[in-house]
Amino acid sequence: MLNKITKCVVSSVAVIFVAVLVQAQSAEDIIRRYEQNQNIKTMSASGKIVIYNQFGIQEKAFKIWSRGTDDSLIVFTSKDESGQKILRSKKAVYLYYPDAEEIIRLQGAALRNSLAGSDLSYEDMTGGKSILDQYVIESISEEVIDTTACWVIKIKAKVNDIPYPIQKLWIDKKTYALKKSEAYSLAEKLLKTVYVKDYTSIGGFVIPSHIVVQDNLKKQTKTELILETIRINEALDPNLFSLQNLSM
Amino acid sequence: MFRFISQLAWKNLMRYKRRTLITALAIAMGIGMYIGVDSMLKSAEQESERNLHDFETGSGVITTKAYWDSKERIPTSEYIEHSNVLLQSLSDAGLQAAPRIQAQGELIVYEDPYPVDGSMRVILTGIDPVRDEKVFKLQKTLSKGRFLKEQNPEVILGSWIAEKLNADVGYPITIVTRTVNGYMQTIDATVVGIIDAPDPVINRTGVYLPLEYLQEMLEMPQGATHIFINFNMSNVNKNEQKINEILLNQPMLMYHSWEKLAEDYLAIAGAKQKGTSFILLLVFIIAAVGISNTMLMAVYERMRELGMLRAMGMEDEDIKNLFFIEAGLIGIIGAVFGVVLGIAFDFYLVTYGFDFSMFLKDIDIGYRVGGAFHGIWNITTMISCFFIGAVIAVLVSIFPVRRGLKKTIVECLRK
Amino acid sequence: MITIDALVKTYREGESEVHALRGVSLEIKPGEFTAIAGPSGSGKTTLLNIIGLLDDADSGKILIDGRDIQTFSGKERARFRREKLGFVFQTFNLIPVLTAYENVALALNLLQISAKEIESRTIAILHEVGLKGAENRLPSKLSGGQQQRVAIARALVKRPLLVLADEPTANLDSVTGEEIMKLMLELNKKHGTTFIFSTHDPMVMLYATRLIKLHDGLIVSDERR
Repeated sequence: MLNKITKCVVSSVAVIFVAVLVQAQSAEDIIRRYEQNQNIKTMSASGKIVIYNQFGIQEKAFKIWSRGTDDSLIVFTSKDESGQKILRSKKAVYLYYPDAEEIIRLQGAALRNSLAGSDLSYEDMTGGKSILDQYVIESISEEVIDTTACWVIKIKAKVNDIPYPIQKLWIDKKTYALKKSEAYSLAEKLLKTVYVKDYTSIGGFVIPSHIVVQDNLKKQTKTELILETIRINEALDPNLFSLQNLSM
Repeated sequence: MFRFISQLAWKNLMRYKRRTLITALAIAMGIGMYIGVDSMLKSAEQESERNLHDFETGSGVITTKAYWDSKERIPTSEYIEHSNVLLQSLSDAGLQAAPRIQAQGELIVYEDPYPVDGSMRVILTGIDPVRDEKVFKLQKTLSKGRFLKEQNPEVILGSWIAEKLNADVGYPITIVTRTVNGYMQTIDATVVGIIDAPDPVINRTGVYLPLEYLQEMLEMPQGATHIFINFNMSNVNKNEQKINEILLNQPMLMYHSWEKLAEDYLAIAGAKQKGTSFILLLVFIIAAVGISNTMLMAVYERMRELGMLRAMGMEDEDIKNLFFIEAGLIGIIGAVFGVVLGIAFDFYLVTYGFDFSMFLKDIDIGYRVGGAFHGIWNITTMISCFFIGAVIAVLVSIFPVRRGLKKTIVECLRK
Repeated sequence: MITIDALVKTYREGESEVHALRGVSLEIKPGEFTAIAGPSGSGKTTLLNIIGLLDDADSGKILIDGRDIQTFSGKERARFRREKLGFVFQTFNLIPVLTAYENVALALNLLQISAKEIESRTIAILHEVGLKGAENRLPSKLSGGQQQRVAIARALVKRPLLVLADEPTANLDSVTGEEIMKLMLELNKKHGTTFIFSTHDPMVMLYATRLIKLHDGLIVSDERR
C-alpha cells in the first residue's frame, strides 16, 4: 500500500518536475524569440513624445537613429527643444544643448534624471544586454489583454546595478512582440508600466510604434512615445553616433 | 596743570553740548551695535556648535575612506560592513557609539490624507534608537507621536518637512530609494513621530527610519555608512587615540573629528565673522570720522582762543593735551552710552532674541540656530569696546590738532 | 630796559612784498607809557608782535634786560611770554567758557603758583580794575569795557615786565575807551609796569607819556611828554 502511494507521489513529482522543466525552457525560448524580434541592425524614425502631467500636455518632436542595441541618437526637432541631442552608447549617455554648445556626460546617479521631463529616465535608455544575462525566470503564465493572447513572464535580477530588480513581461504569442511590461521595486511595489498600443511591421520585424509609459508612483503623469516613418536595416553613417557629430 | 587743562576741556565740551552729544552718540551707536552683533554671533556660534554636537556630528565619526572621498554624493554603497564588530570594539574601549545609515531617497505622498499628491527629494537616515540616544539628543526633541521601534516600516519627520508635506502622525508615506546593489526599492511607511529640534537642519531635512529595517531594505545587513562617537571633549586627544588604535587594523576605515564633519559650518562661521568684523570696522571708521570732524571744527573755531593761549605762554604740548582730553572725554562719554546701549541690546537678545524662523525654513544660513537668535553676555567685549572707543577718539583727533598748531600765533590771532 | 636795533620785517603776499619794518631802532626805559602811532599799514602791530615774541624779525636785535630775545627757542619764548609779558588785544580774546575770575587766574595757572596765592592775587587785581562783584560772570555777560578790564587784569596779574596792548580801545566807544586809558595809566603809575600800545586814535595818543610815530615801516618822530 505504502509502496503504491510512494510510487504515485514520486511519479507525480517527476511529471510536475518535467513539466516545469519544459515550461522553464519555453520561457527562455520565448524571451530569446522576443529579443530576436528586436535584433535589427539599424533603425531610423521620426516621432514625438507626449508628456501628460499636472502642468498640462507637452509635445516634443524628434528624430531617432539606432544601431544594434548599444548606440542610439535622438535629435529634437520641435521648436522649444530644437537642436538638443541625446547620444547613447554602451553605458554612457551624452546630452548636447545647442545654446550652451556644451556636451554633458551623464553617469551614475545623473542617469536617474527624467528624459526631457517625461516618465522615462536616461537610465531607461541604457542597457543593451540580453534579459537572460541579467535576469532569471521566476514564473510564466498566460493572459489575454485587449484581445491579444500573451505569455506573462516574471523575471528577477541576478546581477547588480540594474534599476528594476523585478519585472513582468507580456509577450504577444503570435508576434513575440512586447505588449506590456511592469517594473517593480525590490519590495515588489509597482513602479512603472509600459503599454504598447500600436505596432509597425517592417521586413519581418514587429516594432512598437505607440508606447505609453506610466509612472505608477506619481499618479497624474503619463508619457506617450509615437514613432512614424520607421525604416530599418538601412546603412547609416557610422559617424552619426560619434561625439563630434553630437556637437555639429 | 593737568587738572586745570581737564577742567578747561570739560568746560569746552559743555559749551558745545549738542555737538558733543551728537559725536558721542555716533560713537555710542557704533559701540552699541558692535556689542549687540558680537553678542548675537557668539551666541549663534555657541548654539551652533552645541546643536552640531547634539544632533549632527557627535564628537566625531568613522566612515570608509571611499565614502568620505565622495561624501557629497551620499555614496551609500561605500558602507562599513560588519559594523556590529566595530561597535563592540568601541564599546569595549569605553566609547559611546551610534551607527547610522544615510541614503538618498524620495518621499511620495498622495491626496487623502494629504491635501495633494506630492514628492520631495530627501536624505534618509537610519538610526538605532537604543544606541543613538547615547550619542545624540534626537529623542528628546520629539514633539508629536512616538519614537522609532525596531524592524518596522515607520518614519519620523523633521517638523519643517512635515509642515511642507502637511504630514501628521499616522499618515502613510512612500519612500523610493536604491539598494546598495543599485536596485530600486520602495518603502511604504507610516509617520509615527515628528521632531522639533533646536537644530534647524534636523527640522528641515530630518527623515529617520529604524536602522535594522533600513539595513534590510537596502540589502546591507549589519552595515552602516557612519558610526558616530560621543566622548568628553575635555579628553579629546586621549579618546581620539583610542579610536585610532581600534582602527589600526581596519585600513579601509577612517575617523574624522567633528570639525572635519562640520567644515561647511566652520567655513561659513569664519566667513561671517570676517564679514561682520569688516562691517563693524566700517561703522567704527564712520564714528571715527565723526569725531575727527568734530575736533577739526573745534580747533578751527577756537583758533583765536588757541592763539591767545599760546600768546599767554601755554606750551604746544599742553594745548595738544587740552584737545586730546576733550576728544578723550567725548570718546568716554560715547563709550559709556555705547556700553549702556550694548547692555540694553544684549538684554533684549538674551531675554527675547530675534526670531528669524520664518526665513530659516527654506534657507540654510549655516548657523544651527532653530528659531530665535539670542545673545550672550560678554563682559570682555564691553570692556574692550569701552577702551577702544576712548582711545580711538584721542587717536583721530591727533591730525586736526596738529594741523591747528602748525599756524603761527599771529595767524591764529588774526582769525 | 628794552633795546631795539635795526629791526626789518618783510611779508610776502603772493607775488608782492610788503616792507612792514625797514630798520626800526629805539630804546624803551622801564615804566614808560609809550604809544606807537601811525596809519594802518605803518608797521605798528608788526613791531608789537615782534617785541611780544609772537613773530620773528628778518633781521635786527631786540634786547630785553640785556638778552637777545630773538635767539630764544620756542620753549624759551613761551616761557618768556608766560612769565614776563602781558597782552591786551582790541578783540579782548577772553576764553568764552571761563568766568572773569577764571580768565584772569588762567595766567597764574600757567605759572604753577599755589592755589591760595592765585586766589588772592586774582581777586585783588579784579578789584583794582573795578570789577568787584563781576568775578563769576562769563565774558558774554560783560560789556566791552568790562571785558577789556578783564583782559588788562589778566595781563597784569602775573606782574609782567612789559604789557603790550594792540589798539586796546579800537572796539570801544569813546567814553569807555577813555576809561580804559585812564585805568592803564593808573596801573602803570601804581605798579611801574612798562606799557607799549599801538593806536591810530588821537585821544589815546594824548594819554601817552611818549609818542613814537611810525610811517611806512620807519620811525618818523619820537616825542617824550
